[in-house]
Amino acid sequence: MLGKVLKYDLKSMGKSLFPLYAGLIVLALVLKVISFITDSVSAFKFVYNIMFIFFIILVIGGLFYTFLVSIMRYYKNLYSDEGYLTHTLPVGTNSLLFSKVVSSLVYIVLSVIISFISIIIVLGYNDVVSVLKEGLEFFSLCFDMSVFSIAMWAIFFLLLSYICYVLMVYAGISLGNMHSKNKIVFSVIYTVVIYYITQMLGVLLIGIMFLVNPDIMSQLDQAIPDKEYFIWIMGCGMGLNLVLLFTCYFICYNRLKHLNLS
Amino acid sequence: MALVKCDGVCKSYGKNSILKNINLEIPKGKIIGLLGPNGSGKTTLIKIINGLLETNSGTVLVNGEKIGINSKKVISYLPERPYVNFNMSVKELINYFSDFYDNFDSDTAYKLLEKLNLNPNDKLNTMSKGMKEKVQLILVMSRKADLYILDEPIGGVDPATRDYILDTILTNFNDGASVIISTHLISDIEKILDEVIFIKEGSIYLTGDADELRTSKGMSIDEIFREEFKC
Repeated sequence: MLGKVLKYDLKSMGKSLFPLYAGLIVLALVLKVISFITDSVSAFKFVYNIMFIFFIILVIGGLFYTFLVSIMRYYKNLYSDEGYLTHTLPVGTNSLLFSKVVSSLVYIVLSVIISFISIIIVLGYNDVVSVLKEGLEFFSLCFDMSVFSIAMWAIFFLLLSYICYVLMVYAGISLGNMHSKNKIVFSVIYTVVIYYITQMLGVLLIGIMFLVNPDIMSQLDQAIPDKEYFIWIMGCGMGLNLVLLFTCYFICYNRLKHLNLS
Repeated sequence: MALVKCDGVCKSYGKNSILKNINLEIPKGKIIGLLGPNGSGKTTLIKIINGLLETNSGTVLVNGEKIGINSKKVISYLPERPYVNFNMSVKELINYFSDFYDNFDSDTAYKLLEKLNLNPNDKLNTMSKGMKEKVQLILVMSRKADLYILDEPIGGVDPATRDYILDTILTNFNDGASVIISTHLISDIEKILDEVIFIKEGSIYLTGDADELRTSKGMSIDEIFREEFKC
């Protein structure tokens, strides 16, 4: 059943996100065409600049919109009137929840890829790839790891962080819906509370790290810490994210298991 | 074995007690009216049977099993409110039901839609309120379920639509299945009921065979209701 739930989650979110992807690509192509004209007609420079700013806003806003669509899908499908259908389907709670997590991951990856392609269209392949390559090679030298390993770790860490934020809001919505009134207000309050608890745990973790190894504090100030400390810091960050991920997932699962859809 | 068995079911929201010690058995092959005034607990009981609400105490068994995936396979539920995604077309909704419910019969759904001259490619958000309700009813009645639970299916619709809804229910429910119809518009459904359950202030007030009640009280079910629930 997970496959079927996933199919409809992807379809539903796609309806909101594919127009954005199409818009991004079209705008990138228009910008590219204008950039050719700008070379010969300087009056187009102003139009290009305005459109370029709009393009950047669309790229950044698009990523935030992807996050928002994931949240809306969770709320509408599980806790609004649509939940009456979702929760009377012969589908297990884990399938419902896991599908939401996977679909939000799929679309953030897709949004990043589309954004990347549109940036390449506007700025040119060589420019974008060389900047990216330089960055990865720099980190590769600093931490004595291959470029591929650095890239994989970066992708893993970013996706893990993203899904933690998504689950944090899911958990906030799940807890907010325990109340019979002002559910959205309570959902926001719970999300903020979970966020601050996480921040406090982060500070606590840094404190523990300092107690274990006092030298680590000096490393935190550096743009590029030593490899040994970098692994320590990243490891702790990932550990905290994993704890947050499983805690929020459990909160969501528990609330769906003890459903009170009013 | 009863199709649905409620044993000591209680539900409250804070200090507000909605259901008080409900003991109930729903037999197979009957059309049952769940009757009561607004706020009597009908919808709460229905939501508990469908797994949308958790009880505070007591148990609900469907075909001898607790509420879960298996009970959802055999119950076809029409809530009192619109519950499908209005951005989907009728065809997409039929595919959705067909994907999730093994007992959904797409042919029946298309035949019923044809009678309404409805284009399956139309999205629900382009339809009138009455038409949306009819589409939802068609989806629910196109399942070969053991139990159909219809919460206020005729509330807020015109008399012609009421007739259509009742006719669709009567001609499409699975042989041997039971139908629970919750309503306070008793006169409209009285003629199709085999059994009635009167619910008042969260408790079962009266239950029995519809014909026997009419004979013993010398009144129609509608008149009994008006008498018992007089304000």
